[in-house]
Amino acid sequence: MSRNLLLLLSCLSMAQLGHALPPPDSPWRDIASMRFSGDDGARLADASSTPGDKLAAATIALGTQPKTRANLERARTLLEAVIAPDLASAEALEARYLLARLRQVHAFEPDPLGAARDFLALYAAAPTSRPGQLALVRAVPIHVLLAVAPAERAETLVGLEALASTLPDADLRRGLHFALAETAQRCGEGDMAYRQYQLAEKIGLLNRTVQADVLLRIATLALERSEPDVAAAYYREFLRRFPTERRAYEVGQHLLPLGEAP
Amino acid sequence: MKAWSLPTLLARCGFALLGAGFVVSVIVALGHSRRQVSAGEHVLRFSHFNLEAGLRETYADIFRDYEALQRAAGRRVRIEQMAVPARAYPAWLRTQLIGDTAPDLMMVSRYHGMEETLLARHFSPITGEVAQPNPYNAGTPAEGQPWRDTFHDALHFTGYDPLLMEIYATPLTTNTVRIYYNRELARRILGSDPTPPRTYREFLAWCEATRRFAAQEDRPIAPIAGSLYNAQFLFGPLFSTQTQRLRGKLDARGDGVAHDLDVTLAALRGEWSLESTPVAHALALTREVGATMQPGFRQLGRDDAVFLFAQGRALMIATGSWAAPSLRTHSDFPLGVFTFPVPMADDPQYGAGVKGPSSETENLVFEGVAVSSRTTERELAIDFLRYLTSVPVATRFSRQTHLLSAVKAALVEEELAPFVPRHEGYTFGLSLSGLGDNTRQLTEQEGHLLHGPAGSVAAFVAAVQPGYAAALRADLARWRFNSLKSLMRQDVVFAAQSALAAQGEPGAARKAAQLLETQIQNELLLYWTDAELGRIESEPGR
Repeated sequence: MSRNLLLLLSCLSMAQLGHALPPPDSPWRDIASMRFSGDDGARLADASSTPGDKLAAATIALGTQPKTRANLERARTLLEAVIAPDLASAEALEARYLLARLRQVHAFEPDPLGAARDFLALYAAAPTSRPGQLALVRAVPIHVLLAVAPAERAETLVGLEALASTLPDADLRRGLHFALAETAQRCGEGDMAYRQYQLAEKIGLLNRTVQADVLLRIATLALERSEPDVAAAYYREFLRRFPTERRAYEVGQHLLPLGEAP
Repeated sequence: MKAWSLPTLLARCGFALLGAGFVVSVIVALGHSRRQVSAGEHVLRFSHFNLEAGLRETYADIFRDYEALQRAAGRRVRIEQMAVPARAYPAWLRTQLIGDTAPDLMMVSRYHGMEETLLARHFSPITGEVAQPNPYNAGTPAEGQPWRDTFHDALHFTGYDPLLMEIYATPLTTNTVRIYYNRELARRILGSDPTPPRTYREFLAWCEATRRFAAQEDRPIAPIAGSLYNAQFLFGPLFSTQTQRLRGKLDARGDGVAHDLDVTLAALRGEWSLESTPVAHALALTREVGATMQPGFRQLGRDDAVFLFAQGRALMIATGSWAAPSLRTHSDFPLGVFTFPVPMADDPQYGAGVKGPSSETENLVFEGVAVSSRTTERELAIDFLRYLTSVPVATRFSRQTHLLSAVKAALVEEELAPFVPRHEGYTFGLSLSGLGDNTRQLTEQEGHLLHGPAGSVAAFVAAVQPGYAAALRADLARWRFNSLKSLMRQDVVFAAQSALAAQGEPGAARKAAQLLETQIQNELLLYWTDAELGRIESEPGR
């Protein structure tokens, strides 16, 4: 089936799913554009609110400035209230993810190692859920760089790499490939970085700067592996997609010794 | 009638003036509040700090034309200009943002206090919009090009925030640094109408000839009019030439640009230091060029240097393209302009660390017009930005203001031709203070030891070295703090976009995935820094 036909079918199915759009008064719209106040959070946090509202209220509490211990405590209480009735519900998994995130970045004394343990536990409990998959992506750099001894990083990365292809969500699979590639490169595991960058690039990275960086990183790794043809192909692709980028001139110079005109 | 004593009279006059001031303020405030939005009218408020002569008038002309264009399309639009002095602008803008009274469009600049935390919270990214062509470029050389690519730097520096990984602003002008010289004086010093120097050695020959001429004439004439402000325009690029190859070696990720973070960590690991050969050469070169300025230049300000140059007491001055109109006004001699010829790889003394000329677009900083995240007229605001930065309007803006446009295809007046930035070139070398203010303050504080008459590279290094590692760590701590703050902001938006995606909101899944990419990269840097600092601290002898 051609790509265009697939695109058309996907558009049609989107149109048929019109009824599935978020409600017009969805609090997430305002949260997405950072339009909220502590009052919005208090209203949503009302005891009669749904688990979804509690998640929204907790997110508002995390995002309200200035950050206060009271707001963080409020977020924690709301998230625990979502988890309490049913640990395995979809909302409870979201809440567990957010609690780990609170521990990792929002807390006044961030605890990334504790958060990594929470993320891995969440993934183990619900590996095919979106929060579970996301938790795995979040855990990778913390676990490999901070929890594992340098001598054990390579082995740990290999174990994590085996999980990458099992993630059902394409966005999160790309995220895991990217996280593994970045981490592997920092740990000196060039071969894995090379593989994982290519897998992420194949799915399609979304930010232009990341796209440009990754093309050049793959080219450099290819040169380290004595694969000049692959390097040249990535350099050419970089020049095709980013002809005015600040590194374009230098990339053109890299192509010369590879026997190609810029 | 009772006669008032002088103190009483003064006191009453003071009260009267105070009262008059209050009445005027009330009238102005009431007048402002009366400018209500009438039914069906769309109002955009646009704030900036360009109070230089002619700029406000140019803005006003362009606003009126856009309003007329919209009127012809059946839409009533009014654009209000809010011009605030540059010195007061950062505080004013912050107040507006926090008070939720920010204009729809705001001129923002890294030089005027714009930072990631404010951007993330109060501004709306335009990354998606700038990927599409600007419809106002129809019939111009930029027709069909992504809006982003119509700017000199494709918005890499002027519009893009590397931490948030989003484009937030579109610039109106672009700036390059040039050497201006007194052509009349140059004729007297060098004979005939000399060709500007094309190499660093030719530049040094100009300086030497100026010194000889000053001695013969027994007049204090400096080769370059210096000040702390003007010197930075030369010292930064000069330093960078010597450290290009060193920076290339520190590119841990292999993408052609060593992150300042990697440069900083490499210094803490001992991979380079103030005593490394490229750094020593960079300091020596900086000292050599500093010696072409009048003694004590570090104690002087911008106006002092301009005064010296305008008085014919210096042959050259280094400053930006933005200064051209005022220099032309203040100088009663013909001006020449050239690009400073930094040492190249073939220079016998300073060639070893040089890769080649740098792209001047790398000099550009985050500065442009950004859209408020609270505006109720986002679509209109972006449409107006497209209009304002279209080739015809940018050409007009440049022509009326005598400033070089940020839009590549805008026509360049002959007087502005020497200022067009060089696009092709190598990326910059490292500086001693790439990551933050602590290293900058330390090196500036000890700068007199490098540039003073009794100073030397060795004296400067001896003074800076003891505190340099601590300053690097302080910069890292600050960077880490800002990174975490950005992650927190992004986290809230990420949670919301993920929830909207789950509810079927079109485009939300992509936005969440984009944010995830951004966060993965930032978190990796964060924990890599922690791991590396831990490793460095645990090394024997630390």
